[in-house]
Amino acid sequence: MRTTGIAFAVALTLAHAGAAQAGKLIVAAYGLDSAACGTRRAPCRSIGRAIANAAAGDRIEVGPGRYGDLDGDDAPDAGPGEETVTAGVMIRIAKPLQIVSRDGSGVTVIDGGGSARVQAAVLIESDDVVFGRRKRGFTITGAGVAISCRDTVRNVHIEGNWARGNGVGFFVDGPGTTVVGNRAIANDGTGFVISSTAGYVAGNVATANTLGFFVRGANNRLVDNVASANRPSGLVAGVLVRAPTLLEGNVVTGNRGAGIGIYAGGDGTRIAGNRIVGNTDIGIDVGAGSLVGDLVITRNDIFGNDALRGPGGSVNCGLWNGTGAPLAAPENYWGAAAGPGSDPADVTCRDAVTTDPVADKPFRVRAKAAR
Amino acid sequence: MTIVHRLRTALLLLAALPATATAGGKLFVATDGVDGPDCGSRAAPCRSISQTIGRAPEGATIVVGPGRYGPAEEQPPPGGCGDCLIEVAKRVTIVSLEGPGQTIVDAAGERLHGVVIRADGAAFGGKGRGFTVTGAGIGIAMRADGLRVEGNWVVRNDAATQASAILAVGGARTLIRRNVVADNDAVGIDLRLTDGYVVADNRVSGHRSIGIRADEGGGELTGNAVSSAEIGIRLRGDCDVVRNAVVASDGIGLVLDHGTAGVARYRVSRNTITGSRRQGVHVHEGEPSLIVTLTKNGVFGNGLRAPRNCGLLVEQQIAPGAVAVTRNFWGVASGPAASEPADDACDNAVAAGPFARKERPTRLESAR
Repeated sequence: MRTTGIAFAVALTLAHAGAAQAGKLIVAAYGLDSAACGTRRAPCRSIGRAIANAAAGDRIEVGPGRYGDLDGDDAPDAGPGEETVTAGVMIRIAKPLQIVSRDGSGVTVIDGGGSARVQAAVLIESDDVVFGRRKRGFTITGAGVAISCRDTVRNVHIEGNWARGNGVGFFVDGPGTTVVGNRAIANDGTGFVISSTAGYVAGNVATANTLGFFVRGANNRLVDNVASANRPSGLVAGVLVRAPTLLEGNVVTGNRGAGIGIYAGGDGTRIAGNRIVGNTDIGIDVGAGSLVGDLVITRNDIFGNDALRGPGGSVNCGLWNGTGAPLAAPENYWGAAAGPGSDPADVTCRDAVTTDPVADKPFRVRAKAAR
Repeated sequence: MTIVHRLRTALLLLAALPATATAGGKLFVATDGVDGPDCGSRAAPCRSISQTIGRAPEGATIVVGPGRYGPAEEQPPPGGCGDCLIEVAKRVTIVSLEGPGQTIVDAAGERLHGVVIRADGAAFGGKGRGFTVTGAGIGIAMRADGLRVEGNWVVRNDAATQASAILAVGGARTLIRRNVVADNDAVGIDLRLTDGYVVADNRVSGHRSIGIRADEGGGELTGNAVSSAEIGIRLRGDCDVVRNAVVASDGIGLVLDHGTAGVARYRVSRNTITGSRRQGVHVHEGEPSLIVTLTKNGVFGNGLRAPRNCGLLVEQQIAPGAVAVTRNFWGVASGPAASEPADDACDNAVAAGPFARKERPTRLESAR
């Protein structure tokens, strides 16, 4: 009986090991692409080859190194081991896979090479894709868009990646997409474009881009993100909202422009528990076309904004109401216990805003991503 | 003098001290603060970091709240640095309350230097309590002994050409740790004539010329993740290079230069050097000479264009034993080779062996 038990346990272990082996492919900078590559002994060289060799549901683990345009010749798919560029896409994920780096984004670089041919470094076209995990993401650079996904995909999860030096960092779409713990740094355009509906965007950092976050899909939740030190070409630098959105626990600070802009389509947005501090233009700009009746602005820190002269000659403008209708913004902290006023407080400007009751001290907004 | 008299004198002196000094040597700065002769307490914070430094006693800690600190607020004292945003000319520790994502020092292209530190023992930032420094030519410049720069995001300081994001000139025992240094101009971290430096656990990415450079002096590089520069790390002078990752250099991963004042000694151990378009490691021979130990590193995936597959290149014939190459992983279990997927010791001056048969994972906190 004991012998049978041991045999059963060994068989179970072997079966389990076999299943795990079958579901995992390895990519390494010392791999060689082939129709059979992807084992630990014979890793693939390119992520695209591993995707082609993988079955739905597999996990691809990528080792440290450079992937994409290897030789920097502006022909990102001409050399051995380079990713194949098709219709402007370098890495196309068209089956449900989990793709992670082994050692983290700082040592795993997907390089579009700055070629105009690479419109997207990574395009997600399938449901149930995971691209990156906490501490197991990628750095993506030199592409038109670093990571993009189609509007039809469901249950996509993007985590732990850094997009730097691209046109746009992340362009996410599809219902229920989650975007967690990523960073967009020094991209020429927007750090995060959120076209998803009912997506979850949390713990991301957008810094030193032209615009931090642009939300155009409805009913997304933006929680605990940081938009800082962005440098706009227009008015808004931190977060631009054009669809009903929940903004909660975010830090929007030190941007060279307005912190948050709510424009046509952004009615129904709730801005609660955020820190909107030290932006060089207006803190929150509620523009013409917004339906203020559905807008909630409460329990935020709004101060130190608009130190330079803003549009229409405003100074210290924490909240601009340009809708032509009265707006309620109760229980916010405006930089002084007494509420809106001259320095060091912010004021409200243009059309009427009801601020009572005011909070008499700052809220604690501790976005972990800010550390 | 009686004891009672001494006690009374001490109490009078204590009462005469400013309120800030009695509060445990801590001063506060906030975006909703107001600069003035009495600012700096928790209840009445200053508006500018510069004003607070002026009021701080030696050894004080300055705690800076969330917000932006730019040219409109920050005016260094007359006679101080001419073209900087903030000058630290006292032994103070300056930390943010909520971290670099919430606390922005922005020179806005109007000042050449973001922060200049020239007092022995000063510190700028701390673990999880640093600053974003942006919009300058040189983000943080320093010249003193025993300095610490920690936990900062030094990004897009692009207001001058050929500039370094973090620059230390001279001084001893400089510690540069846990910073993110990204997308600045020419050089990420630059140490010149600095002795006993430690550059640890930084993430350095996106520089036109060099990620980390130490020119003369000596010290230690450990735990850094360096990527996307023409040269990842370039050293001249004694240095221990331990457990770093140098990835995706557009030219060379690691350059070891000959000394200028004496023999330069390099111990290069347990690093990963990969994705360089030219050679992974380049040993630049000259006079005075150098001694290199290159051991237990991963050197693979380099030489992506000519010289192809070149992991290690020694520039010319050197003295026997000057470059020791042992137990490195070259991409395949059978050791260095000129064909894919291995890297090779591509100069005939150095025999690379014995070698490691498998890769040693990098696992740097700075890379995650």
